Amino acid sequence: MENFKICFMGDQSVGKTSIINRFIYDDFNINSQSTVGVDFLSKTIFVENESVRLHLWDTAGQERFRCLIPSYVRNSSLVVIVFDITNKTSFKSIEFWMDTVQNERGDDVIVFLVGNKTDLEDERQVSLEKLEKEANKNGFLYLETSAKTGHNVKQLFRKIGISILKQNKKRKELIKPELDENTSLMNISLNIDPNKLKQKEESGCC
Amino acid sequence: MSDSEREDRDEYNFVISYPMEQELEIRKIAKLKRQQTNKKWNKFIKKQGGGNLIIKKNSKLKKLVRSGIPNKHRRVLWQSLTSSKEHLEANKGYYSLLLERNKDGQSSATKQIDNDLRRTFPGHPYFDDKENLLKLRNVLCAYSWRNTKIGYCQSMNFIVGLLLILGFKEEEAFWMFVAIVEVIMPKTSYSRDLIDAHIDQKTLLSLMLKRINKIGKHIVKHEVSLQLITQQWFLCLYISCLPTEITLRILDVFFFEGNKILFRVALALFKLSQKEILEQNEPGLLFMKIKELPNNVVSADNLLKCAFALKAFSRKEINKQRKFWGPKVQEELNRLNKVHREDRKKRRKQLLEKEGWNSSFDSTDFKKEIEKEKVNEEENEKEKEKGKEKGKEKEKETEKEKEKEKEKETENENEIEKNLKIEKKIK
Repeated sequence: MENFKICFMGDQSVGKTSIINRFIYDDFNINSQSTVGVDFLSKTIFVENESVRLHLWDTAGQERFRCLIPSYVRNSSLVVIVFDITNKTSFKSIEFWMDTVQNERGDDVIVFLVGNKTDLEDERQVSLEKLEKEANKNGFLYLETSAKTGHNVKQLFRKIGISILKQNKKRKELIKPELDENTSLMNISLNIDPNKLKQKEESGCC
Repeated sequence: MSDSEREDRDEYNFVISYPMEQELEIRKIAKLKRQQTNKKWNKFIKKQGGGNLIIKKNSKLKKLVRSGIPNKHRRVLWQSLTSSKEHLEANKGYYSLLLERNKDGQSSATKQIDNDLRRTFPGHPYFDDKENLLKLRNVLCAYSWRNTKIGYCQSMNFIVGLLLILGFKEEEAFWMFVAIVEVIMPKTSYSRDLIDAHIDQKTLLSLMLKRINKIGKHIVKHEVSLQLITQQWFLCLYISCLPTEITLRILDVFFFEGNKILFRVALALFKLSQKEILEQNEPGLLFMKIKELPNNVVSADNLLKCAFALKAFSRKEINKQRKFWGPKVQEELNRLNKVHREDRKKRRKQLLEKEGWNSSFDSTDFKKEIEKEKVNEEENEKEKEKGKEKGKEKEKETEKEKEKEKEKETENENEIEKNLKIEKKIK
C-alpha cells in the first residue's frame, strides 16, 4: 500500500485540526486545543479499487510560525489550505499560504482549497463563487466543508485520494526508477489513540 | 469519585493524551518523592519565616529545587525565584492601568488571543468558568499592550493558562510571564519572526552533535526536521508537551537555573530513548518516535537525573553557539521574506504564460489576457487616485491616531526601561 503525506495549513482557528479529527475519529469538539507545533494522524482509505494510506499533518496557523513551513511541506503529495467561510481575513490569507507553499515546492504539489464552517451559513462572509473563482484562477481543487456536522468531510478525503492516485500514476510513468526510493522515504505508519477511535478504521470509509 | 480522579485526567485536572496506567504510575512516583522531600521543605520554609519569601539562591536551595517544589509552595517560590513578586510590588497599579488604558482596545493580537481563549486546555474545569477565561484574556492582552513588538504568540496561552490554573492571581501571572518572556528566555523568542526561537533550535542540534553525538548524527543522517517537534517544547516550556507532573518539575528548575534547562531536558529526552532512536532507520518512523518521546516519561527524577548527568554546558557555550547561528538564521529569514514578496509578482506572470500555453496556445488570447491586465491596472490606478482624494481627509485622522499610538508606545517603552532598571538594581 502506498503512503502519502497531506499537509494542512491556513489561518488560526479555521478548523484544520477539527477537519482531521472529524475524518479520523468521526468526532467534533467545539474547542479543540490550539496547535503549536506539528501533529499528525493517519488513516487508510479505499478509492478506485486501491487502498491508500493518508498521513495528515497539522500545524500552527499563526503567521509567525511560517518559517517552519519549508520543512513542513517537504515530501508532501498534497496541501490543503483551509479558510473559515465566516472570516474574510482567513480567505484573503490563502494567497499568503499559497506563496509559502509554492516558494518551497513550486507547482510540484496538488493544492486543495477548503472553506470550512458551512454550518454557520448565517455568518457567511465568503461566497462559494468567490472560492470557485480563486481556485479556478490557480488551477486548484476546492470544496466547502463543515467539521462540525461532517458535511463534505468524507468527500474531501475521497477527492484527495483520487487526485493523489492520479498524480502518482502520472509520476510513475515519468520517473519509474526514482519512485521506489521516494516512497520508501515516506513509508510512515502512525498509531492512533485506540480510546479515541470510536469507529474501527474502515478501509471503505468513502 | 473526586474530580481529580476522573478517568481521562491527571492529578491537576488536565486531559491526558497517554494511557491511564501511565498516569497512575506517574502519580505513584510523584507521591513517593513528595514524601521524601517534605521534611526538608518544611524546614526550609520555617527557616525562611514562611509567607513572603525573599530567598538567596545558593547551592543548597538549588539542590532542593531540583528535588521538586511542593505544590502548595510553588506559587510563592516561583515568584521569588524570578523576582517577579518584586516587580509587582515595585510597579503596583501598572497592570490595572495597562488594562484600563486599553479598555475595549482591539488589535491583531487581541483578535488572535480571543481565537485561542477557549482553545487553551479545553476540558480543564478551570476554564469552564467564564471569569477565568477573562483572566486569561486580560493577562495575554495586557502583555500584548505592554510589548507591542511581540504582541501575542501562540504558546503564550498555555504558559499563562497554567499559571492561572496553579492559583496565580492575574497580576502575579502577568509579572511571572513578563519575567519569562523578557528576562529568562532569549529576547526575540516570541517575536514576530521568532528569531531567537529558531536560533535555539539550531543551537540544540549543535549541542546534540556534541553531547549525544550518536543520536545527533543519526538525526542529521536521516534529515529529520527536528525543529518541527522541538520548537514547541521550547516555546511552551514543555507545558502540554509532557505530563503535567513532569512539566512542573522542569519549571521549578527552569525558574531557578534559566533557559539552558530547556536544552538539558531536550537532550535527556533523546538520551533516555537512545536505543529505540538509533534502531529506527526509516525517516518517517524516526520522526514519529521523536514526536512521541515526551509521552514516555513517567519519572521526573529519571529525566532530570539524566539531564544533569550530561557534561555540564555553560551559558558561555550556549551563547557562543547562539552567536554563531544568529546571522545565519537572520539571513535565512530575510531570504524567506524577500522571496515571499517577489514570488507573488513572478507567479502572476508565470500563470499568465501558463494559461496561454494551456489553451492550445492562441496568441490572440494571450494578448487579450495581457490587455485585460493592463486595463485592470489602469482602472486600479484611476481608483487609487479617486481614493487618494478621499484618503487625504482620512489621512489626517489616521495621523492623529498614529501620534496617539506613538505616545502610547513611548510610554510603554519607558515603562519597560524602568523595569529593566529595577531588574538591574535587584541583581
